[in-house]
Amino acid sequence: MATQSPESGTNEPRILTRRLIIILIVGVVIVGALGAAVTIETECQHCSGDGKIECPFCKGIGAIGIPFSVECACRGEDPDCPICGGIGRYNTLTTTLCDTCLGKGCEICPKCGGDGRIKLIERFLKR
Amino acid sequence: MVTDNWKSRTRRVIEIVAIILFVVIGVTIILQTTAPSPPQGVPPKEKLTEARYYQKLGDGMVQCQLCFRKCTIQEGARGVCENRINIGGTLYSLVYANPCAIQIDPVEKEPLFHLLPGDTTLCFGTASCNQKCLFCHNWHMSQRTVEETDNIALSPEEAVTMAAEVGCNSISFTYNEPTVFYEYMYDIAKLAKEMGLVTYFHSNGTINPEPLRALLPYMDAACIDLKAFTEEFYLNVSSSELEPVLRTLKIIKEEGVWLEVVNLLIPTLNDDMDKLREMCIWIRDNLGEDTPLHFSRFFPAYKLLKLPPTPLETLDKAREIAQEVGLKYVYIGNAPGHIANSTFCPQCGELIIKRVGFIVQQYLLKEGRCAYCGYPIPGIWD
Repeated sequence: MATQSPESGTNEPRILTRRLIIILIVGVVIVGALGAAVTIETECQHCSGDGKIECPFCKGIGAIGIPFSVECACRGEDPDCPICGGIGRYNTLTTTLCDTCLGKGCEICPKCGGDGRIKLIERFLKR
Repeated sequence: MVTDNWKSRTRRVIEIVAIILFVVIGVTIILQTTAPSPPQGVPPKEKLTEARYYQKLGDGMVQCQLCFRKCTIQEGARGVCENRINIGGTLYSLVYANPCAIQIDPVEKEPLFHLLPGDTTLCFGTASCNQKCLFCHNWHMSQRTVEETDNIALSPEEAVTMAAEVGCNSISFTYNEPTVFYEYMYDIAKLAKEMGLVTYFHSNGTINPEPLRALLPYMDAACIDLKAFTEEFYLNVSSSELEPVLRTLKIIKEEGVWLEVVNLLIPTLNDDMDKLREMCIWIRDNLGEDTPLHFSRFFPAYKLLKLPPTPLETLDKAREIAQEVGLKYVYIGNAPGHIANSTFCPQCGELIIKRVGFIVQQYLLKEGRCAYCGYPIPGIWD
């Protein structure tokens, strides 16, 4: 029957402790990383955290110009009229709400749904 | 035996450390995900200016007393104008020192035709309005909230200094309804008067009497929109009321501030000639025959795109009616080149201020009198 040496007897708890600590640390790191990925939110990179992006139709102005022709006050009777040049009508422009963004100039960011923030896990999954 | 004790003690310590670590991580995560975020776009309370003219109703409610709407505002909410917010039972202005429009314009653009002809003015406007006019030409400012406009931080002191620096003799509050930035307008006007600048405002006339009377000592002139002469139009087209506008016009006249009235003639909506005659008679009887009246030509804009521009004949007819009623200074605006852009002497009929659009081409007044016959022309000329 082999006799256990006194040195090996004293090392066993230390080795066990080290293993436990390593397992614990690795466990904490894994659980923490998973928890963070699931719950922690970061700024949406698509909209830089604004929650909205520039309307592609009106380029962020929110308005569109509509040209129309109007009768000049000279009624075409003044050939030197500085407004219409004697034609009797001139073209001008009016503005109205952009149909796409309803005048807001922006649309809700499709990546973050308007929150301006996105969960880490979603970002990883989308990549 | 000793080894077993050591092992169990070590395990217990490790368990405790693990529990502590999990608790710390868990709490951190919870705090991060549940921390309240402030509403987007609203400046911190410390940076806001308390509104004037409101009442505290208790239970955190306030009632704004600035315009005819007298909005009752719950904590955290805003009035119809979107510019006044109730934070903790105190009403704050969101647009004080926060204009979205600063521009140098000719005085004629206002339109004010009896005030410093040919001069330029530094104009200020902010986001939002207390009316919702379907035809608004400045809708990109007036029908948007302060969060939706690009604003510039500019204190009243800086605003007045800017006017002097750019060589403007006057300051104007215009584009949107200045009542919705009353505190800012008041403070600028007061400073401007101290510096000898001329001040005026272009309003829809729905401000309440008390704040209006407090403001007028610091104003030289006012340009008021009388959009129509029926409550129906005000309700359906502007989401507003006529009566407060008539009251404002009378107060401005009483207080001796120079007044010009603007009526935008919109085909089919307010171009009934009988109603226009009623309106002109009211102006003559309550404001005086010397009060300039501007009939402005409508151009399709914002939500009124299906209506055509006002025919020139309608504008001419309206002017004829106003002159028949006895109004001496009746103009037609938004029709550059029209003869009624200009001022004629009511006595001798001579052309005394020739305008093409906003440009003054001829000025034949001497010390406020017609250069031909000496008839005094009311206004602020020097």
